Amino acid sequence: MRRPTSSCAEAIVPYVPRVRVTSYTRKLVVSGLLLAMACVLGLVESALGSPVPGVRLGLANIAVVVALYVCGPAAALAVSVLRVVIVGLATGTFAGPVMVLALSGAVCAWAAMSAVRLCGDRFSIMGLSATGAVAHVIAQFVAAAFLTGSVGVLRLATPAALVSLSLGLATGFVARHLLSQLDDTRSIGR
Amino acid sequence: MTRFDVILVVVLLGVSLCVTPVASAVSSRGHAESVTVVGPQGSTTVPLEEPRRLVVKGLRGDVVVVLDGHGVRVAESDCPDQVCVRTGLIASPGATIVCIPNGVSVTVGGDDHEAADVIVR
Repeated sequence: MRRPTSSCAEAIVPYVPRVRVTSYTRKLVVSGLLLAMACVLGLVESALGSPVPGVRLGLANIAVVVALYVCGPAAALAVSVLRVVIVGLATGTFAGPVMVLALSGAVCAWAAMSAVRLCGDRFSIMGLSATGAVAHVIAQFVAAAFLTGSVGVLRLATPAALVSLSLGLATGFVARHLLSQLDDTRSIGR
Repeated sequence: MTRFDVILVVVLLGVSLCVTPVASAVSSRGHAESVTVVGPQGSTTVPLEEPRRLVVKGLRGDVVVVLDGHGVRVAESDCPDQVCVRTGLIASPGATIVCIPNGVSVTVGGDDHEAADVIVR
């Protein structure tokens, strides 16, 4: 049978990575590796600075998306939250107000992406990643509004959310590539 | 990208575009007459018209708030990302500058509950 190669086929059924880690030990190892990757990407990202106030490139989210597909939602939450804690310790924002923003963003992004993932294979990796990015930004601004006690902060949210939407699609594309490579090499499965 | 993805992206775009107008509608009450500066050590409200320079003690260091008669801006701040400085000059009621690392916010109009919501002629 000929493999569907055109993007027309993808318009109906998206590419879904088949690689899964189910054994406890493998899950532990793979999520640990993904956490390490997320921390490195998070540190690189914090050195780069942000293009728009309130927005980061979201590189660390690549690892979270991969964890969500390969190891499941629980491991993805662990990767996401521990990444925020470790990067916070390394950059000196630990236990400060910036950390509260990062944590609320990370948890909301995880919740939104898990919800999209639970919808089955209707949505592609890029759609899932973009949802996470927008949820992250909006949660951050809501947390900032609570911290400062003024709703006016949310006025700055639209440009940030629009930029993060496109960045989310881009990081989703990278995650898709990574997952398809893992799929082909069968190096971490089972 | 699937058909569902397109729907998802359109929904996300809609949500993103709605946030600012909704926040403006909720926060813009009263006239742009005063400026409220909230810091970790309390808050202060000053008239917008008078040019002056306020030094606010933040969580990490000093935040310099400058009123130049037309609006208000943060001139200097001891924070790594300088988001507050890059926000620039604000003047419309409800507009806000925040410096999250310092826990300082600057709002035009402030909690001006004495102003009328609507005027009917």
